[in-house]
Amino acid sequence: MYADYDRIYKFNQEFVSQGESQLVSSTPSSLIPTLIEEIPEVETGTLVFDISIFSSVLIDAGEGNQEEQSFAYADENYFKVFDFKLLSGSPEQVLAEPNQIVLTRSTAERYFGDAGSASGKILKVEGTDFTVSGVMEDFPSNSHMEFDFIASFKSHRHGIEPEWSPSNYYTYVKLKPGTDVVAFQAKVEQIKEKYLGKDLAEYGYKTAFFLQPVSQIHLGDQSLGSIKPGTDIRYLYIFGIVALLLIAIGIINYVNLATAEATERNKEVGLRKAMGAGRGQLFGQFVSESMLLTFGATVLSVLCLYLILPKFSSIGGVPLSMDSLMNPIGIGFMVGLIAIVGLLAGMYPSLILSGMEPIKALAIKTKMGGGAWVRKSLVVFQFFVSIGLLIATFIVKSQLDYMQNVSLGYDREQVVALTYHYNMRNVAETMKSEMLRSGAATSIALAGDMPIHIKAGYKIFPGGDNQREFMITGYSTDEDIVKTLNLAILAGTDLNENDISRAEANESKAIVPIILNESAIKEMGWEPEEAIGKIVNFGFSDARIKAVVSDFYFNSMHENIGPLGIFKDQGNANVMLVKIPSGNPSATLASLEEVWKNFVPERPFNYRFIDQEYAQLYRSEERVGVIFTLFSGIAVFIACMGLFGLVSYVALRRTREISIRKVLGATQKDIVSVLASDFFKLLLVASVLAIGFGLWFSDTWLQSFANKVEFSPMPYILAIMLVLLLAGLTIGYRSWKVFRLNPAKTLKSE
Amino acid sequence: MIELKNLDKYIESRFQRVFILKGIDLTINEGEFITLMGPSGAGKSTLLNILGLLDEDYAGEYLFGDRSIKSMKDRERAALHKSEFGYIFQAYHLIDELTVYENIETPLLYRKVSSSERKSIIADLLDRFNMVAKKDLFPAQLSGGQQQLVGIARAVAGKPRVLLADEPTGNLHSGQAREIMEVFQELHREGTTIIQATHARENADYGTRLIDMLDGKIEKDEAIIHV
Repeated sequence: MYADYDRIYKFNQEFVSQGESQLVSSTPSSLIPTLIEEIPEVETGTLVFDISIFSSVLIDAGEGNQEEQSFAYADENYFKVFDFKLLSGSPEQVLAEPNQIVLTRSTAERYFGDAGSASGKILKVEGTDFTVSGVMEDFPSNSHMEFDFIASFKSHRHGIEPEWSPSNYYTYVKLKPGTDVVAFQAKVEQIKEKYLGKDLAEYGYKTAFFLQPVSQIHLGDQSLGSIKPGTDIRYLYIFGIVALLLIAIGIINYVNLATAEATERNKEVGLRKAMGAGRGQLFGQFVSESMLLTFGATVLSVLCLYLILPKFSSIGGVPLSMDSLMNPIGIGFMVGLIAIVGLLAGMYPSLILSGMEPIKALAIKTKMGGGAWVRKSLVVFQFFVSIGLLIATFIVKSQLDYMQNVSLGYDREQVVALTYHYNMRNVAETMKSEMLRSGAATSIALAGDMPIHIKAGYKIFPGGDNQREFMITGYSTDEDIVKTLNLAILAGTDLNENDISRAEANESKAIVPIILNESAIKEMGWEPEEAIGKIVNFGFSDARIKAVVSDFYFNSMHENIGPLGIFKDQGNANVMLVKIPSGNPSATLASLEEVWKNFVPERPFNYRFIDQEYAQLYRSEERVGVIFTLFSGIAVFIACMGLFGLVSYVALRRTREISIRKVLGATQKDIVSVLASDFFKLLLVASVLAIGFGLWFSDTWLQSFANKVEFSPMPYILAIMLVLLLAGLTIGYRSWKVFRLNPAKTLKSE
Repeated sequence: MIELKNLDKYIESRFQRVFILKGIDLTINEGEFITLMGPSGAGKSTLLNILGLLDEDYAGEYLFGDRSIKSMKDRERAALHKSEFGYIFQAYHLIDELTVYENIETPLLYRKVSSSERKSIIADLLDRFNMVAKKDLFPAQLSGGQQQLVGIARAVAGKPRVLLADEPTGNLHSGQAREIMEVFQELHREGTTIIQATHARENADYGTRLIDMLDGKIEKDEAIIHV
């Protein structure tokens, strides 16, 4: 963590309009300079402009253009707020002038071979010369920011004059020691009133800037436009609990088998007592046995961890290393764990063993040995956990499958997104017609985002009585978007080349035609047909509703489809969406690339398939699915091992009875059912409990998805069948072995 | 009905063969009441086990009727075992967790006898052995003689043709022993073939044939005349 991190905060912003609030993590560029100047409690503060949200950046260090995705601008205080290590250059100077750029160590090595020689070199950023003013150490993995390049904000056109709108920047503030955060927050509120109060009142909405400690950013809740996708902390808790459950199952195995065997060790206990052992000493002996076992198991698992951790790390998508464990705290934790687990596991059996009286011990003739009730409930618990985990796994998987396959409301197959840059605007139209002519594309549209995640937010005010403002997402695009994505028009007519763009409309104070989706129309209380032709205020400009399209998913499935407005604004485009014909994709892409090279040879030809990008959105849920599968597999395995042990034990005790039954004419089937019936009753109880858990889980976890898979009994049936099958095999195998025993041998006169 | 030809059972240990049974030639006709006598280790129990199809590890021929046991498939043997043989042990070997009623019922369950038929068979047996009042008790609550009676009831519930008894009165005092032997006699009169192994001379007197065994061989085989 950076030094003084407890004094560093990030600003988030909340827009509120008529009761509806929207949370964003970006702020205006005027915020931090104003705070620094007017509030004495501010020691320093910085602004970060993450360009990669909007587009990629072309970097040329003399060997041609490279497209870079991880680029940000920051003001001159950046390295004073965050004490990242600078390998060359000083914190005060590296971002003080325009056209300065800082590289991370890996980036410098990539471009210049080694970090040392990068300093002072010139790079072109989108054709403009920048000087490498410094090289910094790579960002640590637990930082919530990560960039390859940081350029001085003064270099960017928006960095010359600070503004109170738009809110595209991240603001961080470092407070002086001992500052009362609440009082500071109040002062920020006053500043906001002072500079924004008039506008807020005029347009009738509210906004608030509030603080978030940087230490909480990595794991906190997701808010729109965070810099690096944080880790949802809930998943960490869930996995922690599951791991504890697995340990519990293992402990249960030990307890069950140890108590079962307790009766077999009577002779040993009786002898020891005869030789003078006290009850306490016996207790101590048996507990130390379990401690020793636990210790051995821990050593074994640490060794396994060395081997498995890299693989697990890549599955989980989180960088994990043994260092987190092999330090005084980690080792202390392990020692504590050994003590607790060893004690828990050993306590009950040791109590039984040491408390036994010799004669009473001999007299125990129950089917399962002493403590049968405890063992039965523990077995039920084990299988409850296993079946429950399996059910949860299947539910997660079914939701993932559903999300992968559900219709999004637009065509996502056969659509390729090419990275587009503002600087291409002069050749964009010609490129489009060339690509269409070559047959490699059936339809092309420029757009601000890929449709899978449209981020831009605006305010819309329908006008008229009984209407209120609400937040709406805006899609900057051109007249071909509806065709390219195959959106369904419910009313009105599509945009065409004669319609003006929003930029043009703002300049000439004309009315811009827009397309709204169903949700937007519903929000305004209109039917699609009646909305056509109405004038609304969209993002402070007048707009006429030209068409209504049916809803499609432009955000994650965690949320319902919100209102969306589509309008022409090629100036804000970041991608070129190309619908390609079905058939040979590599040939098609080659044709597209050819056209590309003819017009913008200096820009790398990068393409992404929309359906693949969509799949990426749910990477973290995929990971959850994989980890759940692993864990439930382990749980089932452990539970079955325990079952195997118990059945073995019971079969052993009942050898005599089984032989008698064999003499009386029992077939193998009969014997298996004798042994199995007890266990199957327990499994049935466990299944019922697990179903209850499954229902609760699917309710809670699926809640976070606005669009969820329908309820199906399949996960429950599959899980229960699977476990019953495995348990059945375990019991059957063990009984089969007992059955093979020759009754003549086992039934001797007593 | 039963014919044993040149039956051997031995254990191989290093360079020696230890014979448990050697050269047994034995013909048993239906309706006989045979007593096997001899000291411990003579091979009586082993012979009983082989006769009862509980032990398949031997050399030589075993013919039941005119079928050779060795040549039978497992399933045939099991079927034969179920339908023809009943077994009584010295240590009773009742299932402790089951009641008297359930113990007697067990072989009937394995022979897929219908529920109503089971009830009537068991009722008859309980009545015959004067155990009706004890049908819901557990073996631990019965005396030795009563337990053995349950063992016999269980053995004959399936109406076997051959009853094999290994030291049936070994754990009983003389009064109980006499009771048991009288039951055997009754069963014999009803046509059951009985083969018992015993130490007690008195028990032999109830039978029709006496076979003395020593060191795995048949020493003497003579009929007993009853007056």
